[in-house]
Amino acid sequence: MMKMKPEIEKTVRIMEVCGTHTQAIAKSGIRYLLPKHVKLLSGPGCPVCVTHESYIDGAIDLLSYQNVILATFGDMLKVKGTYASLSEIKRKDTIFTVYSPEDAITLARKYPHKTVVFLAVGFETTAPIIGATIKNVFEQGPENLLFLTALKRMEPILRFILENEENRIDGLICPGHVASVLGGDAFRFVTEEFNLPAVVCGFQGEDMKKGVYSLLDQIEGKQPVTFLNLYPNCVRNQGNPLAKEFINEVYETEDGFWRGIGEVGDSALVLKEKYQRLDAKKRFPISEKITLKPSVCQCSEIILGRKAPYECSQFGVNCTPENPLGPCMISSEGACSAHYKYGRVIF
Amino acid sequence: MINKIQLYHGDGGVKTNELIREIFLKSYGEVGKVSLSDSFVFTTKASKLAYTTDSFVVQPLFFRGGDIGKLAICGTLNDLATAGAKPLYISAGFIIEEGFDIEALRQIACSMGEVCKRNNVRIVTGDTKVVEKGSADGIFINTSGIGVVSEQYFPCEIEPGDEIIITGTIAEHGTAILLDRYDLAIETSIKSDCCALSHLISDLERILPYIKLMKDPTRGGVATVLNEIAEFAGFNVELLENNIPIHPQVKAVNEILGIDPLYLACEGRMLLVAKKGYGSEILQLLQDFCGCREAQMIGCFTSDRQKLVYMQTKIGGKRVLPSLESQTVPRIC
Amino acid sequence: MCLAVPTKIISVDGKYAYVETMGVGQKINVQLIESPMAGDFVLLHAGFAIEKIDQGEYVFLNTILNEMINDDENEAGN
Repeated sequence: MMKMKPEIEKTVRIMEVCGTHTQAIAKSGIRYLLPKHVKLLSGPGCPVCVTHESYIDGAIDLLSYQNVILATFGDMLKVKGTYASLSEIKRKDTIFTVYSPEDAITLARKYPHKTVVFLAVGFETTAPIIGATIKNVFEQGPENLLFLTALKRMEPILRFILENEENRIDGLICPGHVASVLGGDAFRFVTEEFNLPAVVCGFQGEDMKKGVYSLLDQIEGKQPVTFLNLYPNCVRNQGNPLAKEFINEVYETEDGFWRGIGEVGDSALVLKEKYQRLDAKKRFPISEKITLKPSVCQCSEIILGRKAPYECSQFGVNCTPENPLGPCMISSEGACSAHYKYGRVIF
Repeated sequence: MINKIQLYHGDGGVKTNELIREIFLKSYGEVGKVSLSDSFVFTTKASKLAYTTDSFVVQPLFFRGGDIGKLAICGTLNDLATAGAKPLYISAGFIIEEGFDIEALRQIACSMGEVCKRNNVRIVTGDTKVVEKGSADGIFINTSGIGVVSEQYFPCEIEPGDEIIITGTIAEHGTAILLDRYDLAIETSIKSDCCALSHLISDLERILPYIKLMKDPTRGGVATVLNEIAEFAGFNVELLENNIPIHPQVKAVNEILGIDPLYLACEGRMLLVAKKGYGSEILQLLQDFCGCREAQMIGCFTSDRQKLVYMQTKIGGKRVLPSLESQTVPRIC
Repeated sequence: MCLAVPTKIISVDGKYAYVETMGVGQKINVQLIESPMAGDFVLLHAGFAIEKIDQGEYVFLNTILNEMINDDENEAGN
């Protein structure tokens, strides 16, 4: 049953859950073009920013073993663990920035006497390409390449946000490239179960504008609430079956920890038993203390727009862009980072 | 001569002199004996001189479009140019890691000599130190330069309406370094834009009185350097995204790696602030007579005093460009 | 979340393909694409093609192409 929402005058809150959408919103300057009552929220959509402190601690622990070197995507370097980030502890030739998981294979071949650990982070866009790499390495080597995973699933975190009525999201821009892999249908539940306007849209300024306006039409009752795929050339309803096969082949789900948010059921992708000989956690005992004490970081409320950045006691004190604690400050366009840099600049 | 640098090459004795003579003086095109004096002495009639220094620690040492030697001389010549100065003399100090390849050193020195010759400037004094293996990353170079400031150039206060020009396409040096540093298997014809801009001072002499400021957008790229200028000027900078010149391949590589080219270094470009109304004339001159065919007027100062840099985007939105915060690295997100 | 750019397959060699993105060439992994062919457009993410781009739907490509053409005009015209 689709019910029409009444015409509304109050603030409209549209959330996007994709780091690249966050960047695109900032780079296209789209906020300036939207009506004043439309507020764009950046949800927990950057896989690097939501990586838990304990994962970084574990990666740092690995370096204490002899002959272990790390390969990582560049954006992981500045993410803080409990005590330090990878860039802070980096020594020459211990941590290598790579563009593709395949570069980790090249690295392992170049250093046959070292164990290379690839820091496998990402959502379902990155999970299949890392999955394919894991399968290739499992079948053909090299034997000295392992994986430390912190791969996450989009659906559980979306449910986590939408199930909390207090969050009052009025519309959702679905993550375009997760949808390319999983399919547009993977996000229909947003509309069907939560009666929320949702669109899949592309990443150019014009595409995003179209996405936001089509959500506004639904929110304001000009159009019925429906799930829309405005990115059909890159997103099929069923997604990419081959990519999904790699996800199912290599991973199973487990409860996952999200920085600044906490534990979310079934939200992590971990290696299936068959592939566990490539799991760095199985090979090296590393500390995986999940700090269960309540985090001082209030990112979860800030991400959801329930609190303003300056209402967090850590904002600008212990948490700054140079020394970020939570995802809102780690992401260069996250709510806290943007507020810190631009203050109340309004055009 | 053996082919690796040894600690004794830096001890000031026979081997140091041999290195200076065989590698440095030859590469610089200087003839004669190694001078006994530790100082170069000169006279000048010029009433106003500019003096600058800079150190170079780039990795990799050799990159597409240049090497650390070329970069060191161009960097210093361009720093002189920002002061409106034509170069006279340069000093070059080397800190070399033990075991460094002497042939690589010769290549670096040759690049330095070549840029100097082309720009009619001499390296007249220098220093060589060798440090133990592991104490340096191959080679570090420090260059200082002294030059004569044009009497036509008097930087003055920036006002709203003053126009901003860039002398060419952006981000080529930064992109070239990224491609080589991360050993990315991407095929492109991109090269570092590394080059000396000393010629601009004579080429633009006639119109220099209408140029209020010059600055080369090196570290942190155009966005960061414009923030410094906005801070200094006390006014906002408004850029037009559509006017910013960028090579399509540079754009493509940055898209693929998730990097913003506005934050990548140029090593052969200058940002000019033109007095309001004189931008077009300067631009014409740059394009027609200075070999800067890709030069563009990219924005202007507004009367707002938040000292921000922002950009009118292609779709008509507005985007604030803060200074660079952290190292630019390939991203997935 | 994830950065991806449209690119064109020039040739295919087993698991790999040579692609061109706005004049920039690269060898990428196409294991996740069903029967990749020269001339196909794909979405490129961290060295892998993650999905074919449907050429029947020109809207998206046109946005990109128009933007590129505009840029070229700006560069050529000034």
